[in-house]
Amino acid sequence: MVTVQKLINEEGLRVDGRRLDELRPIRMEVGLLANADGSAYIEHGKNKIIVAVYGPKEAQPKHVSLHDRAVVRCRYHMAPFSTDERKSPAPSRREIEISKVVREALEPVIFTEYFPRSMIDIFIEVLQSDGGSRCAAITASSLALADAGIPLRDLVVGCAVGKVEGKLVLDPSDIEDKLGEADMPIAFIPVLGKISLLQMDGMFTEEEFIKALNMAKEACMKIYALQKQTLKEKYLQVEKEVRESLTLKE
Amino acid sequence: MDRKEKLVQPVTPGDKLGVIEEYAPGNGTYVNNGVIYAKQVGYAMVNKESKKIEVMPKTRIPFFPAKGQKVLGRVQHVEDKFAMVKVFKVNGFELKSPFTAVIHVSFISRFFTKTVYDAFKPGDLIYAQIIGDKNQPFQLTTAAKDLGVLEAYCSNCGELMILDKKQLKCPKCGSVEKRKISEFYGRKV
Repeated sequence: MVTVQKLINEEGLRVDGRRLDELRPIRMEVGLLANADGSAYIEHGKNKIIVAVYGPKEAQPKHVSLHDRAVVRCRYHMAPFSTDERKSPAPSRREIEISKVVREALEPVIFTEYFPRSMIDIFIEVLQSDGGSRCAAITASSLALADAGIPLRDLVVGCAVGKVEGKLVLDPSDIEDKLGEADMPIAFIPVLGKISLLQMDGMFTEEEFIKALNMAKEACMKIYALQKQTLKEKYLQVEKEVRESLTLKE
Repeated sequence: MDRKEKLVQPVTPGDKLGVIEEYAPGNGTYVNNGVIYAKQVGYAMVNKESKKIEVMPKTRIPFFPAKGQKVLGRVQHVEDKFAMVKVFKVNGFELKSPFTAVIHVSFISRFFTKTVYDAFKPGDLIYAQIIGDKNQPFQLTTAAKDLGVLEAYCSNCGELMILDKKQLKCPKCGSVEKRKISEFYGRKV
């Protein structure tokens, strides 16, 4: 790996040539797994994440089921080949934590009360990892849930803000995350205007924190538009047909 | 805005459809703070007369068992008063994730059945109807002519039994067994 002395150059550009408030390139896809009820794939910078959603199905084991709503289970897993050095395939402390926070970020948008005593499974597989994989995982998971036809209040979007060399940077990459001073991933629900995930390591001053939060929310809205576009693209071909059939009926 | 333009509109979860003063919220929508939003991916449609706004989902529709549905299942476990059934087909649709249901002796046939052992055996393929979807496991009935066992397996040798003069007979070992048979026994439904 090349050692980097300066993460932000004189022109105000970052290591990968981005401006401070610029997102990495994002590409999304839905419905790519034939055997899952819903699935999505996201490329967020160097992150490559595949998400499969199963359910609502009968709760297994039975004792985990709740009488008034569905149980949401989530498994975030990094493939052994996803990092620079081989990662043990066994779930690490970090993966267990991310599974939990991703589940809690997604739960508020799912109408779990429609499916009592059942279970919704979300499987997140990181094929290649970069900074901000939990945010990308949340973004992709909400797409997979929508693809599975599960009623949702809104799509959830994840985005992170970091602090590098005293400056706030949007969507930090792996190097910026590791060498920077702070990192704050958030998950935002645009319709409800609520934040369902807020984590931070490092230090922000109060002003920095407010500024970072607004930066992240703004970026989330950009990703949100992309998410909607992805879902619409998948079903755009039918749109014409419906329009035509309806005009014929009238 | 033109009425026709508003008739059909592609939506994704969280898309604003209008306010409750404007439309009546229908299927595939939810209301938050007086605003109607879509909750599924599909097409929003407005009924011009009733002013009802609905979202016609274009994705898969999650399955949930409901009263009256006819199901195909395999008998998993039999006890004196009930049998557990793994249901894998509902109204002709193959389920990706089967669910368990239960049949009580009193719902096996229109006539008195003393124990479930006289009607079902583990491994039997049965055709039944859902009569209870409020509690889990869901309750089934086979108390009708078309409902009951479709495929029975000999408890002696495991061979598929054939219907011979209203009697279930094993073609291999010749043993005769008792079941609650559907009128479609040996055929597909």
